[in-house]
Amino acid sequence: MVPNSSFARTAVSRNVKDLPELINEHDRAVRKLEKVLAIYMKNPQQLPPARPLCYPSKKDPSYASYPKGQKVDAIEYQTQRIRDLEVHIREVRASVDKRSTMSFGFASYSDIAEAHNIAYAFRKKKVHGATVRLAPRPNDIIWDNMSLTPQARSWKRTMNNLWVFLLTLLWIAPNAMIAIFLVNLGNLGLVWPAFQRDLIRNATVWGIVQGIGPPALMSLVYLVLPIIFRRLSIAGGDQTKTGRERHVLAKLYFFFVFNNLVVFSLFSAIWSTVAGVINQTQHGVDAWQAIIKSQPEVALFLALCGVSPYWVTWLLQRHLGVALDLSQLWPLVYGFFMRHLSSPTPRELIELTAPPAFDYASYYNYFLFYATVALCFSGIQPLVLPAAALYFTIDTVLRKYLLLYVFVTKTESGGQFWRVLFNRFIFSTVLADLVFFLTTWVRGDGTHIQAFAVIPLPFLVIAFKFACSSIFDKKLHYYSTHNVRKHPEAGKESRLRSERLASRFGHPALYKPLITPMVHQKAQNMLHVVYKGRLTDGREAGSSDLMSVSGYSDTYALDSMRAGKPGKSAAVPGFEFVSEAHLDFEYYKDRPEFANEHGAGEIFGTPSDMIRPGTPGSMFGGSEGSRPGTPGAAPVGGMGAADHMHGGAFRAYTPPRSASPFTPNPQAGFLQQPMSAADGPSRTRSPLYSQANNSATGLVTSAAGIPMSRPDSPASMRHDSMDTTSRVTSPYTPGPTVGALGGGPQGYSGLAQSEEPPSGATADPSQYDYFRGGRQRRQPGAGW
Amino acid sequence: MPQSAFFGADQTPFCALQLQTTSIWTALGTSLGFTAGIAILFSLLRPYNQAVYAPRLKHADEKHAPPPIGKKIWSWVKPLWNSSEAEMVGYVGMDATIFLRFTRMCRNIFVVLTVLGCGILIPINVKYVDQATKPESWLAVITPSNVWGSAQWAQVVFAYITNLTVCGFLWWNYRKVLALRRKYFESEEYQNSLHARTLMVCWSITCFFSSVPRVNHILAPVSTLG
Repeated sequence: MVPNSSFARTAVSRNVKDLPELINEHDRAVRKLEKVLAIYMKNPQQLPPARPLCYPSKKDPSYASYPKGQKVDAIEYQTQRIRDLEVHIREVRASVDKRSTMSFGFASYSDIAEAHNIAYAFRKKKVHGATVRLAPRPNDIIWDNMSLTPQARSWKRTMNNLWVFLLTLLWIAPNAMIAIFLVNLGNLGLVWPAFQRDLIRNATVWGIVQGIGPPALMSLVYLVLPIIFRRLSIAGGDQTKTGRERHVLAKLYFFFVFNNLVVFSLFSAIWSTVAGVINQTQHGVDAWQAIIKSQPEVALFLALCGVSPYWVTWLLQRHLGVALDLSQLWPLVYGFFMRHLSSPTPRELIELTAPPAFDYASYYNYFLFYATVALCFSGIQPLVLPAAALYFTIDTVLRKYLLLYVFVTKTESGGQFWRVLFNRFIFSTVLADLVFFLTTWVRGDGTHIQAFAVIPLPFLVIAFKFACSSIFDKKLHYYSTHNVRKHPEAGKESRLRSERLASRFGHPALYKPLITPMVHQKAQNMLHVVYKGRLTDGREAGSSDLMSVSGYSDTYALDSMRAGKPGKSAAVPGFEFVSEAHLDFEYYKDRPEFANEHGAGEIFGTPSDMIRPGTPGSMFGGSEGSRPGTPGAAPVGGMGAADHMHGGAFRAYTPPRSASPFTPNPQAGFLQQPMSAADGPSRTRSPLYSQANNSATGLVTSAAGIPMSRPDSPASMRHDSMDTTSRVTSPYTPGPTVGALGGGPQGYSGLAQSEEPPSGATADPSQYDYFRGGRQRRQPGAGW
Repeated sequence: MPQSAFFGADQTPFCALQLQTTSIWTALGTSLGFTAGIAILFSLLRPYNQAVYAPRLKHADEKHAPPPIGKKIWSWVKPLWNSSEAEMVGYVGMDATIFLRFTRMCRNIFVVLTVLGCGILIPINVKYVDQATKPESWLAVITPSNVWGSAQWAQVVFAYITNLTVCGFLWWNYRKVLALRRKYFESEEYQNSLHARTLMVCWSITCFFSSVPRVNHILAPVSTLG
């Protein structure tokens, strides 16, 4: 079975060592610093007398050098920590080695049909010990769990299921207590005489408590549960985020049906039956006889009848949930408190204004649960049916508005929830059939003929499920399923160069830009007072302003040094200042750390793994695979685009046009992005932070911050490249946020590489040849 | 002493509710009233708070923007009415479209079942209730708890109707979802994406080093292993 004439690429994933943790630590440290600064400098004119303190972090390698239990100055400590982490991250990224690989990889093909054919052919068997599956989207992958062995994964999954099971069982007792004592406080009074007296005295007060307490408590639990299950699922070894959501949905549904439906409804009946049986056995009756005599089925039936009005009222009150969602009450309240009562950091304020992500698992769980309740009680209390119909009618209208105008889908799965929903619906139908069976058994004719008439139903439903599965599932999942063995010529299309595989599916830890602390602009003037010392880091005074003056290796001085206007400003480099007017998501849509959480690729920009078929070769034809250790290797990032200085690829410099016959190449965007950021070499933000955090920019090497001392002087190369490049005529276009690969022309370290603005003809920053130097130009598609 | 009180306590904790048949009307009234009130409040607030009530409209670029809404109070209803499912896929993506389709399916199922269920079960339960043990509240009367014997054939009929309805709607929607998905496969976004044409290969670590070249040979014989 050989795709003999297809053009395919394979890439094995690299070992990223402990980079993800380091990056998380860095994120945490930055956010802590931001918070400390926001609180301390809430009123910059009146700084609090005492500087904020904090404990040194346990993960700090020099933790042992601090005296135990003593706090240190928070601002200094966090800044130091951030700097140390950045240096460390840079070192690790540089040392990621091509030879050190993980146990998974990716293979891409020129045509989709072929890939799907192969995946379909290998869906049940292994290829020399390897399982072959369709790849998820790059932003969907949970990298930490990808490297687990199958044994580790199945162990984790078992543990996860065990925890969920335990949690479900543990909740039975509190659930029952609520069911007995809180829903009807009179029961509590029966066992607690003192309370009974108070109950009689203040009947109205306790009536209100009874009306509000249990639903509020249950709602609180319902809110917390998805979070708990999601955490458990992360530890449970799921490989994709959408897969994790589906598992969370499955577990939530199981929990809800078991606890909130079965136990809640039947608890009283089970309790009384068990109590009766115990009573009987104490009087010497045989246990089995006692069970039969107590007629559990009648008790169950009567319990169901008795509890049905509660479910009707409960279903009738579900509209409130939808209405509250529509009013966005919680975000409004939360935002109000955040803005006015706590000292919010700029980052928090920006995130407040971003469109929220939609929690599919929770809502699907609720809907499935309502449907299950309604179906199960439909025979017993027909009024649940109109209640459910009313709820879903209102919900379809209001939810459509919310999805269209408010919420974004964080990770798009292409509709893979459907199978989970279908299966759960089948399950609830079977459960309803059991209830019908019970009803007809208990109240039917003595011969139970009605019950026997109902028996075939569950089996028919399950058979229906398997029929649907075999008819539809294949086509739902696979684009094409021709058996490649039999039809080797089928499914082939025009050959396309496959795009940079390892770069798209690279571990984000290798190229993800690190975040900069953001500070309110009102604090700008006072920051250099607050942030004592270390305005230089011992580097030469003569180095250009690109050098980080605060000791941050990859940030740049805020103000440009223009020819003719020498001198440094009073701004404190290393921080980013955000003015009040800019505290809105609108201005930060192109920042990966914000955009990826709130709809990049969905409502703005383009999805991260778009390729443009038909371009002569890949956009980043250059340094592929990883050459982190290769000295003088293709410069990080920029070189890739240099390839396009050769024929046909001038398109690289044009902005994405929707009029073009192909999908506007998102990669084109990146070439303009850093140029637009500011004049010449100086930027108000490091080019790193104007990149998209996605696989498209993610060369495995791109963050391999080899200090890029260019062997060739830029001047000569520039001359060369200036001649061959087209003039960049198009201005910066907002939107697609594909930034420069890697660290821009200075590489990751930010050490100056004779950075001077181009003189002469290209004073216009938009025409600055950002990717000067074409030392290692490759023919497009020349190979990996 | 408490123990027998516990055992002897009324075992149906919902007896209070059971007697309060008015509680259903109360629940219906309050929830509908509250929902209507919030909807009206929302309509009033919406035109002035685009950041909160229409952030997608604010932040989306032209390619993905949802249909624009006017500033009038009720103008948010019109785009909902007018956008078809095919348009919705373009606006909100597959996941959200299937979410809405699932919700609509539930609504349709329960509307049909309401008509048939209440139409069949309630009259029969009311008519054939055992007069000797007829309960007080009408809520209990419409349950089958006091209906004996051959009147339960209605339950059987309704059981079959329920299963048929549910399975029918599931089948219908499965076909629709399949059509949506095939259309998604043909969409520009999918056709131009890399993950669509990529396979993920996972090894169990033991046979990794020997099998990589062999797997590579099978999956991508023309290329070299990157």
